[in-house]
Amino acid sequence: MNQRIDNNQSPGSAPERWTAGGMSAGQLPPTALGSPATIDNQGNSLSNTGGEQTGGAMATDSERSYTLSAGDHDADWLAEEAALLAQNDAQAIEAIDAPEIRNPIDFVMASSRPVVINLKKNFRVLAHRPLPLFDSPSAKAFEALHVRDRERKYYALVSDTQIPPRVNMVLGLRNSGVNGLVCPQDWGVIEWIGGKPCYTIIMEQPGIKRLVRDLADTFVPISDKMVSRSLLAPAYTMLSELASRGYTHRALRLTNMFLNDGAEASVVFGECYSKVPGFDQPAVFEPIESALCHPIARGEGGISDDIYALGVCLGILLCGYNPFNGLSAQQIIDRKMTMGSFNALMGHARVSPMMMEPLRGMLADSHKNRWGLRDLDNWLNGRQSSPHTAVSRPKAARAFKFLGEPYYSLPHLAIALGRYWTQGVEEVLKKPMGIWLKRSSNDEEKSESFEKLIAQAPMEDAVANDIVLSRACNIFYPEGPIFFRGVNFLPDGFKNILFLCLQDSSFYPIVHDVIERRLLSYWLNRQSSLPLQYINTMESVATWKKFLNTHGLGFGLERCLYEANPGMLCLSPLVFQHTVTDLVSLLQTMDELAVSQPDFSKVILDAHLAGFILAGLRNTGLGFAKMINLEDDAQKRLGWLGLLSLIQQKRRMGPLPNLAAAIYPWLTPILQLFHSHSRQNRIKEELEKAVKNGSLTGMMAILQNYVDILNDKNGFYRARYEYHALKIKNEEINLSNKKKLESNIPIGQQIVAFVAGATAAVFMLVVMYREYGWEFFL
Amino acid sequence: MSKSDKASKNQNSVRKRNSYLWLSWAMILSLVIFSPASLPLFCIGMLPSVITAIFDRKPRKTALQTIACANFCGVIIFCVDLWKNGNNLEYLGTILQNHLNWLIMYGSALMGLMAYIVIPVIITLLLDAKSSIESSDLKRQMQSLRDEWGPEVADENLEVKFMPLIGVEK
Repeated sequence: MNQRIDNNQSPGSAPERWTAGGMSAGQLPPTALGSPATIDNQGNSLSNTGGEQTGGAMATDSERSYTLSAGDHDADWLAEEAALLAQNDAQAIEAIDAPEIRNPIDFVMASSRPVVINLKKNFRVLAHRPLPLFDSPSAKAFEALHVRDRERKYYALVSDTQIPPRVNMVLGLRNSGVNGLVCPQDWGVIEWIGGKPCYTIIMEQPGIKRLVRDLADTFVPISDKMVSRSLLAPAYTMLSELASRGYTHRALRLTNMFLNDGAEASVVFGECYSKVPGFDQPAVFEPIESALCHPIARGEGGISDDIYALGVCLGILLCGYNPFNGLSAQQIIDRKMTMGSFNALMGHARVSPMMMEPLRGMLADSHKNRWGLRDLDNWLNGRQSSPHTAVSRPKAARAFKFLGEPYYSLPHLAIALGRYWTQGVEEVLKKPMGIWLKRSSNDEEKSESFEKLIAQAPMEDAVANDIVLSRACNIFYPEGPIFFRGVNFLPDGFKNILFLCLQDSSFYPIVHDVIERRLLSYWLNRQSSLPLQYINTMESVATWKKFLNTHGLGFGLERCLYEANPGMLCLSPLVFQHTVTDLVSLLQTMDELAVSQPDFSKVILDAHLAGFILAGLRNTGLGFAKMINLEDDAQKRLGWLGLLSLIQQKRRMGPLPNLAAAIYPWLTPILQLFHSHSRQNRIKEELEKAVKNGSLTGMMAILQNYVDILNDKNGFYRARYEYHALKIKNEEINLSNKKKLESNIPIGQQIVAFVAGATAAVFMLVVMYREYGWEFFL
Repeated sequence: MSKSDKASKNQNSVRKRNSYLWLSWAMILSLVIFSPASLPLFCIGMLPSVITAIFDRKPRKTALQTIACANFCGVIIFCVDLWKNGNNLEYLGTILQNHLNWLIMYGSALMGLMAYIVIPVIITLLLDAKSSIESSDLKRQMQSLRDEWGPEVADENLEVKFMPLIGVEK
């Protein structure tokens, strides 16, 4: 199976996103950090956040960057690579498939008439009042009102339900703000006009305008002091606070920063909750390995990814334009790979020596060399930071030709192999690659690893070949993502591919093979230093494998999904619109639904519900998990009741009278598992009492009273034995009766004959005695 | 059972039958010698028994035994009466001229026949009634078991599901 999926496309159509503010390019000046700026529209026909599309300025930018970067280091090599890039640009663009994720928010249209949609008790979303200023690439903004607090201005970010929001982060930051960050007030699922459910996050309006309206725009470069005071300092504060709570932003980009209308211009960072981390980020703001990934599979990442994005923002603001403007994501990645992020971004810009240090530190391609929060803090406070020097990638003595193109560096080759998967599989199994690695790559360790991989490769089927290529890419580019059948992902982003599986079954074989063939473990084992966020991934993968290989309710893909994403919204149709994220709220919601839905007892408990409950219960409830997968209806129901009662018991929940009452009619087949009718009646009475008390645990305890169960079982067998003994006895009587009917008559006849003989003898004696007296006998 | 045993048993039964035959002939001869008037009365009175002897093909000859005994009771009273009144042919004629005497002799044979037919049936019916009472008592017990445990208690081959004991986790 060799499908290609473009990892570098960004969801949403760019023009719709960035001109949504009602300002067309050239009409109003885009503002940077409050400074008045002039429009310098370079005539780019397309406007795009990350340069995913081609534009007229491409050739000029390329030439400029290649020329200037040549002076930095390793000039000859860069010049050579730049020339190759320039030659291959057109071909590379052709190789990109059409985006597969269509704009998922097309259906979120503003209403032409006043429509108010309730979000829980406190918020009202005004569907007829769009706020394009606060739109996100994958979500649309609408005005929102708090039912009591009318003074503060809120907006609702409405998005589709294909890809979930960062629920944990929304819940974690809901009641406590972070300085300089738009914080969520509430969230939920609402039914949009037309009946489609949408995720909705309510936030306070962050400012009056975006820092940069469109990345295609140019503006007057901003002073070092202003950048430091108005961008880096608040960014440091915001990131520090997020890091202290264990979160990352992963949506830092210039178009997601707002300016308020206060006396002193300061940046407010936009939302990062509406989709999974990094989903909306254009390739330009992502580190290379993350930019290579499918947008959904970039993972939580770390603060260093946010520092990188901040570095890119800083670079663009200092340049006064986006150096990558008009380039496709693939071209941006190629350029960063070839020249290094710093050189690719700042190659031809005049930057003060003071700003060189943070730019180099923040734009370092290696996680190890990239600045952290401490480095940024030191720099902001005027202290000396650890110097960072760009490390050039090792270059092969001789190029390896793949699809007619020469490749000198192994990571670059890995990206190309991953990009052209079908051809890559064929190429990696051929001998020339091994020979080239051995003779020209100058990397013995990788050459040996590759040789070993090919030697051990079973080469039995297409899947095995795909695994070989994926591992080969991993050997060539260990810091890069996992390449597999055109879907690239980082280990902590892999869990998000499970969402894609739910919507598109063609992703399932990818997930299955990645887990089954332990690609994640292979990747993790090849890391020289393991980033913190990947430590738990190793353990999780083994569990996922177990669940994925087990079929039935409570296992499979759904279980993996909830195991991989603790605190995730339960996607069961039963409770989806009630934003259930934990087991307690699940039972509470079911208790409410039991009142509002008259036929609640007939609802089908589905795979999502089972997966959600079992993931929440961790290692308990396994007996019930088996039972809900039995064919027998009664045992299945007992399993469900067991799971629900276990939640009530484990979470020490109060009474759930409505749920208990709704479940009670359900129990009829379960009661029939008791065979003694008198026992059934007694248990029924006890259950009615437990229902009145709203105790699912009590109901389960009554049904699982071992004395009753054993007595019923033993009693039944005894009764069956007795019954059959009586039956046999009865049959014997009937049979003997029939036999007697046949044999009794001759016996009777014999008796009669005997009696007649005796009677005749006595009669004769009596007659003789009467006539002759005793003399006759003497 | 060996062939020699079977042969010896047959020989015994033949001997037994021969001894009865000789005994009968001895009785008839003694009646002819000592009571010449009794023989005709006896022959005429025991005619139903003779007919029964012809038609009774059963090995035990129970019909013959019953009817002959009853018939004998009816005839013996007239034999005694004949013996007491001179045992001559004149008195025999007197006896035979009375129709009631014929009725008594042949009626007694008929009574024997009736007893032979009816009494075994009555005995069988009584035994059957006793079995029915026992059977209905057993059926009542079986019904009470079915009422308590359901119809599945009656089907031995039916696989029955019981409440599984999962054990509520603590």
